Amino acid sequence: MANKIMIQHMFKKDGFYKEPDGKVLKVVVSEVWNLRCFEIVDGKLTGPMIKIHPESDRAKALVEVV
Amino acid sequence: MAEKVTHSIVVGGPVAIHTVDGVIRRVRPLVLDGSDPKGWVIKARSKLGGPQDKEYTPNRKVQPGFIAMTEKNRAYSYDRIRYPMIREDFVETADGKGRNTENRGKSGYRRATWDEALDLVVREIKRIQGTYGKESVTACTSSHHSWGLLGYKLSTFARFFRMLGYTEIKDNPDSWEGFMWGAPHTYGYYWRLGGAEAFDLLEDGLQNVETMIMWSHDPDTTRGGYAGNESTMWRHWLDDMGVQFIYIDPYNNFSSIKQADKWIAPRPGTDTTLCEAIAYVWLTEGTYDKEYIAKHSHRFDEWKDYILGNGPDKQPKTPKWCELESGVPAADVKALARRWATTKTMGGCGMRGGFGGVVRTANGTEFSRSLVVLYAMQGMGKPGQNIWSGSTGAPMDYDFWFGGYSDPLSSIAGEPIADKAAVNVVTQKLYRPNVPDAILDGHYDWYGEGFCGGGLDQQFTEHIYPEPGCSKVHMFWRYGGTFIGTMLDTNKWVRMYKSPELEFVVNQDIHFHGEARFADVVLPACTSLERYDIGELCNSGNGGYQSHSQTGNSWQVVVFQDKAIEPLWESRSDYWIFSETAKKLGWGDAYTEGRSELDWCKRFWEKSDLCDRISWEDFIKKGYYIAGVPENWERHPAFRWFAEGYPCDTPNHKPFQEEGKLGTFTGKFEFVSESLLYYAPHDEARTPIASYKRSWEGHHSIRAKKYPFHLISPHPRFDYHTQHNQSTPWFWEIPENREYINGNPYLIARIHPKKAVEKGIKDGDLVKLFNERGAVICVARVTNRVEENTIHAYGSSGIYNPLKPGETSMDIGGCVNLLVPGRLQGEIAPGMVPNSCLMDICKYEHADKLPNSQLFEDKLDRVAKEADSDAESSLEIITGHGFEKIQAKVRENYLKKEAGAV
Repeated sequence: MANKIMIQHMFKKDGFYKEPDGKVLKVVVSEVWNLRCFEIVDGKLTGPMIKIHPESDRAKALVEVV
Repeated sequence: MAEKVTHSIVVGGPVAIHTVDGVIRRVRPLVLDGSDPKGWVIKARSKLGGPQDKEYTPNRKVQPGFIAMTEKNRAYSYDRIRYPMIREDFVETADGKGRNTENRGKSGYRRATWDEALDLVVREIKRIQGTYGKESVTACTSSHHSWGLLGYKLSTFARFFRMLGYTEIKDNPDSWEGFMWGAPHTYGYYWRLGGAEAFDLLEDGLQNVETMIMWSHDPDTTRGGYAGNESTMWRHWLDDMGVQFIYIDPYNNFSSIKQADKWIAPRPGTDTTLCEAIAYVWLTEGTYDKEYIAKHSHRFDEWKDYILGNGPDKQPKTPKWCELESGVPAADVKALARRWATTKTMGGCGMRGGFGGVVRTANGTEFSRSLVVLYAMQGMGKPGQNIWSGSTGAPMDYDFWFGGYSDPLSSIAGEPIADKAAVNVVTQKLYRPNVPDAILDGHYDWYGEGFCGGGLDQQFTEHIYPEPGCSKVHMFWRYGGTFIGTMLDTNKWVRMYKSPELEFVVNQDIHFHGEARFADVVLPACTSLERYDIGELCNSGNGGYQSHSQTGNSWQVVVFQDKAIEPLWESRSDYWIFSETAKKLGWGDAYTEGRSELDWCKRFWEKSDLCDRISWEDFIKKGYYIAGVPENWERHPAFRWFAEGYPCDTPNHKPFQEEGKLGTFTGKFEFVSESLLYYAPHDEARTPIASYKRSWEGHHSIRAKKYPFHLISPHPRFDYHTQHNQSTPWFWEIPENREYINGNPYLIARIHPKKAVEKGIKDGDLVKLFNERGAVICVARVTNRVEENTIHAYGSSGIYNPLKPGETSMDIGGCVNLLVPGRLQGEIAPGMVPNSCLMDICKYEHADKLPNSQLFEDKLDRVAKEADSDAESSLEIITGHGFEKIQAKVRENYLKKEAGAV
């Protein structure tokens, strides 16, 4: 069994997650080993694509915006 | 004389283009340089049973398919649409009536300016949408137009029409119908549109496999989809180490004659009997993986009863039963079953394990499901046991993300590439195979969402045309290629275009294909060598449709598609055409967001991982980027997680796979499908237990008395859809493709010697293929390579050349899709079945009576001359390096214009 395992059930594709600094990210790809997100500003996907490993501290700090 | 080298990527693969003084001189494969990364290295056997001590690594060049080498010819082709044109007897009436629509297909054209043509198009859009509603306009691309994320159909085209509002035409999965509509009900993978995953299976194959079963698979012809010949070497490696290749196909195809240790030729449409008889041998001899089945299967015993003859039909599916139905000797069936059970066996159907002509038969869903259960019975996912057909599964860098054409993130129609996504306000839809039925009958019901990647339930959504409260369609904008060569019973398309229901027809294409000649306005698009774009080899969508298809390549390459030359004649890029039309409609700025084509290309770079790997300046200077594979990449062999029972660790998986489950209702291989019992318990095409069903157009049907031959028309060897054959005359010199007789390139149709004698047909004779749906003249190739009840002729003819233009008359262009049935796989299984087609054949004795005016070159010449009396003739362009003349003329006109401006 490989080391890199995507814990996808913890993150919803097309779901919105808030970072500790208040930034809201949208998960746009979750079917590869890293989450791929864009920051949401004024309802739009902005900036570069953000890559987050699902087991990283950054991923653990994400809180789903319901 | 300065030589410029630019790069591009086309459906055959990436290429380098050498241009001198604005003229393309040479197109060649892309060769890696010293700064590019090392290739992956796989350690495996050199001989079966030997140690894993040989290193396999790819050549340092990308190996496109030979169709990619035609790009110069495609650019300078004699059949380029050179100017905007308007049908000469088109009358712009205020109410859309009285427009001589019955003359579509035979009327000539007059040359128009871009302003004149687009002004007319815009007036008609406004009139039709103003009169009937937005949904009265529909538009459709062909399956593939030109490679590149900007110019692709889901980008430039989609942005325009979504902003306009239109009745979308849903594509059908025309290469893998049976797997799409069948296989998910047995093993899930609906999000891969029925196809199995193939991650890291090249290494698994090289290390473990002993037998490869290539079912309805001709990889050297279909070239792994968009991957060109990247995988050809892999199969040679397997061959050289002694892996046995068994090809199963009514036609001893081009890969098979090169490689097969055994060729098995079932009667078309009967392959499911072969699956069932193999299962019978395994069940009666106890040679299947009982432990695996006990753990991973659902309702296996009921299926077992069916196979052994204990089910309602009381018919044991013995090898002898299979022989009577399929013509495959029982001894061969037993030998195949025993070899499969006693050696590590991989294989599949078609290029991605779930394609191939057999899945486009009336029994295609049941064949696909039956094939999946065979692999399950031998422990699918264990080393050397998997669905893998030798053309995918190479190592790749999964940490590198660059979008493919089906990714919503990689389209100028949506965010984040565009600042504002384009949204279609019209909910009404049409289904591509049945567009003519809907237009001609004014009503059509259908099921499914085209590509149903969102869930099993999507296959059963019901659609009605027109939607309640909606208008019918009155304007059709066709974009690229010709459906007369690729769709079903395609004389229907001819009848549709002549209908006054279609008040206005636009065709936007690069080459003057058969379907373009039915348009009221023809708009000339340029090739991807004449504009900017960006794209990755064989990336159809990482996260989108059949993700990570780049594992069909040895090299993961993103290419800056630089403009090699300016658009020829008065052609323009698709983006320019849509931008100008949007401008005339009053929303040009919203469409472009102020971006040029180059600006959009840069957006794809900055919204992906590419910007972390290479600067924009370096990327456009070098022309391409290769994502290397880490030296010790982590292995995640497909399906191993399921076989060994750990949470899924392969890319492109779903949350429930992390619980070790498949995407079926029960999470297991469903030998009795619970999803079909739930959604479609009365579906006659897809029964809960997949079973062989005699085709409604097969050798038992009453039609067989009148039309005794079975036509198979697989995906073409000398084309990609309809893009290359018409525009590349040197292809016609290939004897297995076409034969050029009296100015007309006739398609080759293959017939068995025994039947040829019965019919009085000799090799090289002109023959008529016919049934009640149409007639096509071809040249006979008498060969033992075809099963004796079968006629083989490649589908997807770009050339459509009816003897009576504009009528449903005999075709001399090789458009065999005129003959194939329009009926779909089932009432609620909307897959196309061109390979369930009965027809007859006879020698054609009247070739000398074909008037020269009907021959192909002359027809195109007339069109060109009518538009421009100084236009070169086809023959000048074909034989006389006409492109130099063309370039001289382009320069001359340019200089004249410049002088005028001064």
